[in-house]
Amino acid sequence: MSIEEQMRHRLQQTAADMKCPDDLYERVWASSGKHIPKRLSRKEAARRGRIYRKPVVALIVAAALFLIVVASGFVSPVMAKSLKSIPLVNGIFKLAGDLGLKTAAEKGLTEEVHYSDSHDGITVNVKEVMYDGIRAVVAIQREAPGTESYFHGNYRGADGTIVVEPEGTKAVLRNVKLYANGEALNQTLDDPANPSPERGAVTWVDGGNADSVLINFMELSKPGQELPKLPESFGLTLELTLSGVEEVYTIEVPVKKNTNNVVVSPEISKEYDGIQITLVKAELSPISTKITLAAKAADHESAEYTGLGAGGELSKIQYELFDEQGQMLGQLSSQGEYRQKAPVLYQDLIYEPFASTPRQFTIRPYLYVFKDGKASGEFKLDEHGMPLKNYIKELEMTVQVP
Amino acid sequence: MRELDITPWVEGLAAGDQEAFRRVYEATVQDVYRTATFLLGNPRDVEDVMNEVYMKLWTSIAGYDSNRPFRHWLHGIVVRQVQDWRRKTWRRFRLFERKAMLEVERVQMAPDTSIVLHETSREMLEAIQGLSYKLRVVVILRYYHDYSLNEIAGILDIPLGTVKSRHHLALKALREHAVLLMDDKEEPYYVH
Repeated sequence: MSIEEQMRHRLQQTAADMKCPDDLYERVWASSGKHIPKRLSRKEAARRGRIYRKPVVALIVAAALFLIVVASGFVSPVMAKSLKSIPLVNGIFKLAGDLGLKTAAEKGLTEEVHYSDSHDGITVNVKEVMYDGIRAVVAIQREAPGTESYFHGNYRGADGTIVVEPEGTKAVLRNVKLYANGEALNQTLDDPANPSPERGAVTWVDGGNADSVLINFMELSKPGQELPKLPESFGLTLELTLSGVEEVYTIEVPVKKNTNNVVVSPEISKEYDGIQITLVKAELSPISTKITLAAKAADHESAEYTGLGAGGELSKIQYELFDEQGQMLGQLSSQGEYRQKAPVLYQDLIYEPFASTPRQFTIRPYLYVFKDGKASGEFKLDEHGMPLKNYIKELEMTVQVP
Repeated sequence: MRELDITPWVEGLAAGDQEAFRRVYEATVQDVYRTATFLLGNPRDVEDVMNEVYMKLWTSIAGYDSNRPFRHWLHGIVVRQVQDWRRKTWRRFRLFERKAMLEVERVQMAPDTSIVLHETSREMLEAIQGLSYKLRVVVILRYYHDYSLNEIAGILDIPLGTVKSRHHLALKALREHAVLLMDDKEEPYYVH
């Protein structure tokens, strides 16, 4: 028998031996059945320029650095109570700020100010301002005699769990809107057909006691786009909404950048396994470090799987920053923009500052490992109970600072 | 699935008739299962690809020209879905899953407990899996589905010359395989 005839016999015999299991039969039918009789609607194309934000969670807490993760913003109520009566001068940044803000306070790079607004017997004061061109931080303090509520609205209870002030509680900060020289920094959706451009991230975190809050604004880089950027000095308007108070608190604060930053635009690229990461810009101030990265598929074929969702697989890559002594800098925030046309994912990552201007630094990309070899879900933990990281050495970058 | 004539059901399919769908599903599922299993290295992927195939079938029935044999059209869908799947899985596996799995899992043509294969069948499967994907597709279409090389060129949308050379290379590789050097004493029987 010729080899061809043998092939035919054997292969068809093998096929006859392979019967589709009953459960598989039923499952595929059930799954297909969902699409009958309607025709499938077209998948919605991802919106152009979809913005995402990764919340900085307790994952980033590295106890060894004695870092309070301000972004998660939780301080124990015991500490909060004891601080309630201490007058705070230059205090909020020093107490509740991240390493960068503490440094700013110590180095006198913050501005102590006195601006306020009052309604219903409740006063909100702006106490401190800091702006280094990377992030603008405003410390506000509430004076609300007789109020027991936590200004920020969330705090860590005595047993370690997060407590949220219930809906009806009075004098809790509910919303923050920021304007720079009258232009909105929050994205406004008053007219859904024409949302205002996303300027960046407006966030607010616990200020270290029951009456203080830190408000942050981090501008989104948007490389390659001609968009208004924050000037070096501007009038910042805060519109604050407190629960139980009808009027909006409006406070205007002059803001001025008071640092000299080092900017590096090396356009260093690393490529591995279909992914290309480019360091677009690194900006170093005494208070923050901002890294702007572009992540994209290295070729057309890879683009297919990297382009899912808001940068899809690309946005799963995390980045650690190390100084030349091998010390890791704590990450404070990240935000990004996925441009579907290119497609490319731009990310702004903000870290604590370097102790002094480094001669070089290293960016180490990594991926989290999940349980059972899955692509998402529960983190797999190391022997210290911290999420396991798989570093992608091939994409690591060491950047020289001239 | 030799001379499957689904003309009685095509109108029903396009109109969304459940009964028509069921008939077509019953008539094709074994073939799709077997083809996908031959072509994919990992049996876990077979279910996902089968889902994709049937979804594609239902959604593109409007594009089916009933003058063309139905099985050509169906096998074209299966091959394309397998190819799409391979592209995604292979790429994913290399960076994300490989990095994410600290213990490297060998992807084997591990038999499902529900598949009971004779020894020669298992060997045949191994021989097929040993071929590179491009050669494997030609072999399955030629010797399982009995397509001519010309028809294969049409289904895969590649030049006849390419099909011929892949076929030649495949046979050359298979000649080495023990399963084909054995005397064939068993009665061959065909799948209908």
